[in-house]
Amino acid sequence: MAGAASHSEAGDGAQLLLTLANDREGFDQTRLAVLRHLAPHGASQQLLFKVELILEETLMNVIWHAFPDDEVHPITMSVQVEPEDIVMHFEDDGMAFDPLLAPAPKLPTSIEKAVPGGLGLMLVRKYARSVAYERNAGRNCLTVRVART
Amino acid sequence: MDTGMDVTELDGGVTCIRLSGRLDSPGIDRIEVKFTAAVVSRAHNAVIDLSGVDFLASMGIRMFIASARGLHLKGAKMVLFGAQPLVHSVLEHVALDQIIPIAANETQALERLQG
Repeated sequence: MAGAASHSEAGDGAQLLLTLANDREGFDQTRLAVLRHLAPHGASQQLLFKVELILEETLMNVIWHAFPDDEVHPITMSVQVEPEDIVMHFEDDGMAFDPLLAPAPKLPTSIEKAVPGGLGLMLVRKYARSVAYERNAGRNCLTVRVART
Repeated sequence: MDTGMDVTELDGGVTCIRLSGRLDSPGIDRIEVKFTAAVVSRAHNAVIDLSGVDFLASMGIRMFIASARGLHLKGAKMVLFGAQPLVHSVLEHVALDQIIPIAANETQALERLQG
């Protein structure tokens, strides 16, 4: 699985299902698969930017922090186009982590005090219409909705 | 578009780095070592042209903060300029201008170095 993002599409063409490994090799393929899926739906440049940002920050957070071992873990995700929103759902079997409980990073007031961390999750919350988390059967399940307009 | 980086030296020894393409994790992986070497090792004031950048994620912001701090410790300054609207909105959301000056264009960036 490492390095290969596989995907399959649902029958109505509105949902994309993807599985990738918890390494950084497959990330670009995943991103491009999502962009291909959204292309026929007339997404604006701004909407695609938001989707790509949420995809990057969410997946990198899982890849970097969810797994204390060196094993390969599948991360599954789906992208669904709804009339009002694009809905991204992520699942992994890593350590329980509710991003909604993570404190917002304290924005630095000077370069001496700047700690470059926690910015990714803050950006997800800024760009999403809503973020929902649940721990279900030992899996982190995160649903991020992005408004289409 | 791939991530690109072009280094020149402007009048007064100012380092100018023109970045292009995507500043996401794969992109930062490709340029971070070169970027840090070009900015921090030279220890001269630096202006960073973002006009060719079409995507910016937190990995890119972290790279800017780390380099600006390294430069600050050596008594020099870094200014970002020319960000396109979508990239600029990311900079605004994390309030980066509180710690790294952000200018509209190269002329203003060079003026900010004097401030």
